[in-house]
Amino acid sequence: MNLLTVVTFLPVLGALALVVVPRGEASQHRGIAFLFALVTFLVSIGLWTGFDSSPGAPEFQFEQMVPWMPTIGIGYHVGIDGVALLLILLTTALAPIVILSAWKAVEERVKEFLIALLVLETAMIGSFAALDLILFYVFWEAVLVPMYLLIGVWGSANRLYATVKFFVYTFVASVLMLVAILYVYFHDGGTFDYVQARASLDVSSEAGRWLFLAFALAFAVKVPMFPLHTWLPDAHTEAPTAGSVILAGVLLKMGTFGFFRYALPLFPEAALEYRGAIAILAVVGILYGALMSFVQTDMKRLVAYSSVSHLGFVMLGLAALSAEGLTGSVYQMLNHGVSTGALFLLVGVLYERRHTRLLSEFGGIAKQVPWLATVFVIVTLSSIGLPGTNGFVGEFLILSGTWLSRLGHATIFAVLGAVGVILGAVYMLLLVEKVFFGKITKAENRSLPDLSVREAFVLAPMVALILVMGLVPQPFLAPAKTSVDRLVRRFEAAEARMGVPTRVGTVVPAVAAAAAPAARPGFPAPPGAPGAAPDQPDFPTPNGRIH
Amino acid sequence: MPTPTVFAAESYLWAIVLFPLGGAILNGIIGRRIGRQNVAFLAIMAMVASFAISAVAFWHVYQGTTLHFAGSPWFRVAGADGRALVSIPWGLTVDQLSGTLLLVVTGVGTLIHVYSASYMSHEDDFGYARYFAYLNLFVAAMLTLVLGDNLVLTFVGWEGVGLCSYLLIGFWYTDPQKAFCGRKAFVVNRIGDFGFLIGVFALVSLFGSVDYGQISTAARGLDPAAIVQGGVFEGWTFQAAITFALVGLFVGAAGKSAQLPLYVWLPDAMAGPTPVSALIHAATMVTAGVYLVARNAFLFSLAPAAMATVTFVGAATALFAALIAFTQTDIKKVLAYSTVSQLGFMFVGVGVGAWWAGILHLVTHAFFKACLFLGAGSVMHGMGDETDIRKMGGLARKMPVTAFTFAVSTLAITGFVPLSGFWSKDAILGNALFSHNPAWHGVGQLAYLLGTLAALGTAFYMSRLFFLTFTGTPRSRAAEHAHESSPVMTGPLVVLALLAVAAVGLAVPGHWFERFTAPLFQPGTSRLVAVGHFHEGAHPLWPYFAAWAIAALGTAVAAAMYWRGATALPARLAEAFPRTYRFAYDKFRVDELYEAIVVAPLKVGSNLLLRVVDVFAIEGLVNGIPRFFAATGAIFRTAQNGDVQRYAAVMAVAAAVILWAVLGVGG
Amino acid sequence: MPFPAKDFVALVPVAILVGGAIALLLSEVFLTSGRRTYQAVVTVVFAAGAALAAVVMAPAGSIFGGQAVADRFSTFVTVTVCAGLALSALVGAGWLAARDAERGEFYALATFGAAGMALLGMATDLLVAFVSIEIMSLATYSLAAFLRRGKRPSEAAFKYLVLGAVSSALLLYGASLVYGATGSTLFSQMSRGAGSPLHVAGLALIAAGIAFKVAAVPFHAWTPDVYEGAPTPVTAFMAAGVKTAAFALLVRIFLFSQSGTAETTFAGVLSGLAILTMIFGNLLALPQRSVKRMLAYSSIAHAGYLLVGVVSAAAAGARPVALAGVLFYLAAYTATAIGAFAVVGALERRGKPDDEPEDTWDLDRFAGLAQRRPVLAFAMTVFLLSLAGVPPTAGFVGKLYIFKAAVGGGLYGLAILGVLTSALGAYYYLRVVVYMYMRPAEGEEPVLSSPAMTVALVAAVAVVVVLGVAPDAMVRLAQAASSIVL
Repeated sequence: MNLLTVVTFLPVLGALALVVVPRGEASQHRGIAFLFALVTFLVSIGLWTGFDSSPGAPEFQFEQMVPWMPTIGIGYHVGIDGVALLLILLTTALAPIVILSAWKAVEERVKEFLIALLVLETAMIGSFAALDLILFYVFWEAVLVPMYLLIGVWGSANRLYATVKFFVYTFVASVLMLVAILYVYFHDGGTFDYVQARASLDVSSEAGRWLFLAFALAFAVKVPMFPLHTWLPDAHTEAPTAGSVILAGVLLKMGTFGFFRYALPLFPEAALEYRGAIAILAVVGILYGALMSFVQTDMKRLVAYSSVSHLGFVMLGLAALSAEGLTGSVYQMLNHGVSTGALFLLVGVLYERRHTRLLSEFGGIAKQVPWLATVFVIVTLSSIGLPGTNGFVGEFLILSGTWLSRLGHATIFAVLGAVGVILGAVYMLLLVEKVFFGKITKAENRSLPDLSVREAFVLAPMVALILVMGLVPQPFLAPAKTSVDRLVRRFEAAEARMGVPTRVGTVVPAVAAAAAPAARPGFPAPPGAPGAAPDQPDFPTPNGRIH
Repeated sequence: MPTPTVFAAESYLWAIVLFPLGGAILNGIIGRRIGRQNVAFLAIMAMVASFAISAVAFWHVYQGTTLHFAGSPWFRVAGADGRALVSIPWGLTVDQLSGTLLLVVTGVGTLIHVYSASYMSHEDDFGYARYFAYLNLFVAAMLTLVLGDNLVLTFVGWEGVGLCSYLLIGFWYTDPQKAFCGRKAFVVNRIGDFGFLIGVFALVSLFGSVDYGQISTAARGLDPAAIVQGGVFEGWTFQAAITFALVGLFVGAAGKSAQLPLYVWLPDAMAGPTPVSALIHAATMVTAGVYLVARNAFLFSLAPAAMATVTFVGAATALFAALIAFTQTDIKKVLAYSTVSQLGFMFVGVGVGAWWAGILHLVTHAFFKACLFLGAGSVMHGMGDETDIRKMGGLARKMPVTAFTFAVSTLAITGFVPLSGFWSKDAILGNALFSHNPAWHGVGQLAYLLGTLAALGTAFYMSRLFFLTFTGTPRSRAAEHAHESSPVMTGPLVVLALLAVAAVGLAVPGHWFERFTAPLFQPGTSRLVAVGHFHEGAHPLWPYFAAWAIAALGTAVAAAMYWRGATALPARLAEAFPRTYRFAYDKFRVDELYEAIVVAPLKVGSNLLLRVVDVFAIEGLVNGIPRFFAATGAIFRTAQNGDVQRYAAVMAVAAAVILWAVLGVGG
Repeated sequence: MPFPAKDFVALVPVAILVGGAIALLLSEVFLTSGRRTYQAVVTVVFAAGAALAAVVMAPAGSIFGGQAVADRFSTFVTVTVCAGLALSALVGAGWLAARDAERGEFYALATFGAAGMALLGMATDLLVAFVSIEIMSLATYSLAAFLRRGKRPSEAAFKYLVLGAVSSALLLYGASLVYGATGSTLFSQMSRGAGSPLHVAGLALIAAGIAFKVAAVPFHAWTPDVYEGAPTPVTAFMAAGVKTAAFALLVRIFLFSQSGTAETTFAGVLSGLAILTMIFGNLLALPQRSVKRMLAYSSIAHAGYLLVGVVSAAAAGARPVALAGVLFYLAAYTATAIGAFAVVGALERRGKPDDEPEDTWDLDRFAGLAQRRPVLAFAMTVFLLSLAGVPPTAGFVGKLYIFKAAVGGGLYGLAILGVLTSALGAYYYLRVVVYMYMRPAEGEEPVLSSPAMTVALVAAVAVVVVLGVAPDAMVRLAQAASSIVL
């Protein structure tokens, strides 16, 4: 029995288990759902420990391939590379937390709620694990339905508009991807299998462009990239806390993951053509999202727009197509999942106490809820990328990776991205100040209870992750390395085919470049200079000593 | 905190950081339960331990060995070819520079912790614990900044101290004004950090490393005039590229060290508790920028233009801040602007290549300015948190120790012989006067001019502050009932005052400090000599006497106006030039200017974007499409009116059209 | 001329259906009690029998001198039709019983209609085809008027009859033109004399005539009124059965007319119809508040997708895929549509005998169904998702299959239009889900529930899900059936 398949379908099993439990037994339902989510997480750790991220290791591991609809050429083919592994872990880790967070928040139709959550989890894991284009599409679309219900049934006032908008927005965007997939089928020797397709796809550059755009559209909406982002604030704002967390934590990553796994490697030529445009949109997203957050009056809306900004960073790193940029993007996907997920949990905690998300309704409550305030500040710091938290590692890698990439005008993009970092501090600290600092203006706020034990258990893992990923990021970076390198090589190969000067990868540092030709007597290549530093696993960098 | 996996002998350096950090964590979690004494004890002990280890480390350096701990990687990304593209180790280093700052930070830090134990006694348990947790955390971050052997680790401390500054300025967050000041400080610093990041990126793209050692090693092999091949700086000369990077770093320094035009946060930072102002906003954090420049001394020596920038900004800031300080009436505000001004001096020092002088002034300033702030705190304590010097006067009799220490430090900062301030400041001005920056001839002399005026100003406003506060007759009920503070507070005052005097020893006996740091700065210095920036040989002595006279003059005038003599003059001047006075009193309305050209446009612009782009354009389109379809659907729906004849007609017509079409095609 | 016995043997499935119909009629005569549910069972039994017969008998190939053919294709059609018959009968049982309007005639007529449909699936001669169409149509006309309460049903039946006559006229006239051009009514001769105006015009008119039966724009006008007016089980039966049979005929004529010629008329006309149908079917469904009417328009839209499949059969490479796709889609749609209409029937308000209130099928009737009848709501959701083509449902696989054929046949335009319009469809299907799950119930309207209908619903859901998750078996059958004897 393939471990990956087990992880994928355990949640749905849980959902079936819930079906048989009579309704009304809310606590039982919660227990069962939580149990299944937890077990899923524990099992998924097996994926991590079992994953071999050494350079020689196969690209896709825990692979399983059984014919599903052989008559149409569709197979159940799953397997994970490092990136998928990390995102799956993120998903399985968030699921139990989310269920725990909804313990009190969701009171009516608990059973259906939990079923939707578990089905959603399977669909998400599946879309990361799929290695067959149609299988991927199936999971991709299957995600919509439970999410649609989560928002529409358990959401707040304006949920209907938000949820229909969410569904149609994403559905319209992804149907074209289906046509593109079909086109691929007829130009890769008649298979929907991703691995084969990637190897044997042969289309004219004209067609390649259209195909890339078809895929990119579907993913860009999910990310969401400016200007396709307007479904997000509504969806986030109206969704129940659990929904927002999943949405921010995982669903958005499906878009960036889609770029990383499908749009870029399948159509490198087209990607090379459009990466400039992607970078521009990414930077616009970074700044635009930040500015929007700056003027929001609703906490969830603010966080939602901040997501637009954060995922702009991810897209920028992808467009940079340099090892640091790509690695940073992958890391930033996880960071955003953790930090923004935690932010939504915290907003949810506040919402459960006051049943409002308006900033103006709060203020000065830090004295009442010191622990809540502390956690909130820590999460905020991670979200604005303070060193020592996970956010910094991601943003640093992305920005430096962009600066060092061979993408045209890379430096300008990096600089604008860095401006986004400033703005991040502006709006997030404004949020903290408006909610926690100053004098208490509303009488209701005088008697707010601090974090309950359950809430502490919900938030503790998030805080722990924030710090651990900030201080010891290497274990999380390592699995992504081989996938990143493969992608870069794929693009270098593509450029070789096209016979264009290489625009991917990282620029060689100037001194190394100068030292090589200009090896004048008395000017040996500096010992510390890169190129000299090989990649030993037992790494201490050769540190020059300050004489 | 990750324990380094490479256990070199020097791994104990981490203890210097980990002690305060541990204290912070403990006090943060259990502090509110263990009672004040234990909280203070815990925090102070952490500091003492850290100080002790620092002393050991410094002793090694004094023996002439540089300590370096090559840490295990924090994070690193290697290319497919295995080349380390980005690699950030947890590496620490202690040399003459960081060793000196190490002692200052832990030493002054310990004193201020002690002082705080009494000063913060009005706080409730929770606040008390929170305060010491923050303070310890700050020290930990500051030590990381100083000890880090690479730019990024420095940046970690850099942002860490920024965070603590944010938390401590807004310590009394229930006052929205104070909370705002904290945020302002953080955001302005972030603007600086932006420059810092760009500088780091630029250096990485030049040297492929963030390690100070590797960078300067690599730089030594460079011909500045050579053209950069490929990469980000394609076609630039190395000199230009390095200048770019260093200016970036200096933007960061200007933000952290409150230089023009980013100084605006520091005066507001006075919203925090006074010991915090002493430690963070006078002695240690704000000098980080100076440290950063000195740390990259050799690179600067390769980029005269960058040095000129530093010099000029420093000098301008020194004078500008001094001018504002003239008219301020809030004791802490005066000290704040004086700090800005003194930092300007330090930048002149490191800017003209007299790195040792800049650092020396950093040290002496740490002593006397900390003393002054703690003195101010003592005064406020004695007067029920009154900060307006117009309501003070005659306090010398009420609180002698405070007055005396304050006087000593004032003399030190005004540059009276033989107190420490004189030597360090004069070393800076002298070197400025005799430097010849190839990129901007005369910037040194200009700096000397501005600096001298600033020194004059310093003498004036500091003396003014002293006289208004401690001499004359009490001008308020609070002043009459003022009382001396507890020994726990006055003790540190005395120690710091003594240090302010003793620091003379660093300068006078044969320029000890210069010689001590020489090995560190030698490459840079020799480079400067090579390009004619400095000339060997003795300098004339007249600047010394000039400085002396200046200090005396400023003090004398202040004495005349605020102590004995023409005490009516200030008021008359204010009436004579009301506009000018007002303008100066309002700190030249810089905050208002920024509000108008930066903050307001940002708010308005964002709102506009939201309305126009998001709501109108995009949402209009998104919601328009379904509406459009629904509308068209509705239109055709009207055709569906259930009338059989019409349906039949439609079918007939349709059939006819089809026929016409196909026959058009087929026939 | 005498025909070999095997020719008659090949008609056994049809014969069974006819026999069943007669039996049901007779059952009315010898009726003792008022309870008639068994009649539904009888219908199911005969339907099953016919289907079984069709499956077990080895395809006889061309029969009656080429006027008909018994091949896997016809088998598939027969089975699908029988399935549709059985399901509608079960739905009808409950629905009619609730209105105590249960009569043997209902089942009998339906079964007769089914016989006509099965026959139509075998027809390879214009006259046979015409006769079969008429058998089918007459049955459905009268079924539409079966429940003579209020003006709607009778009006619907009347419209259907009149307009149906018009379409028959077109068909017949086209047939005569083709006969004039080719000198034969056999499909096999149809490709002769291709290109002559007579021939072209004839084919075009035939296309128009069939377009009416499959409810393709602009020959769709009758559909909403009739579908809404007719008793819901009948609507279900029409939507499923008539569509299936008519498409079977369309495919055959199309292929024969294509065989061995560069004949493009038919393809041109059909793609034109496909485009119009996909666009307007969905557009017109958008503003509907009456769910029943919305489903009527949606059935038009689906005709559009099916037409895409038929057109792509023109491309030699894509033919097997396309035909298999069409057949699969028909099977999937049969289950889905009947299921959806069944739910509508269960929910519709029962007015006083002589009037049907305006809001009989209004969206509000679905409000809060998820609380009142979670299972029913779930079933409806499954059907709607399948109609919208959301995985993992039969509808998705069907669309995937057809659009795959289209892309394979190089019809990118049609494929893109198809997916976009189906995305548009998601909008109005979801609206029903919104009402069921996200709106509070208004008033405890009694919801019809009968064992027969439950059986039907369960079966339909099962089919939709199975075809969505594990469609392989059905796909194999469809592929086998797609090898048409030309």
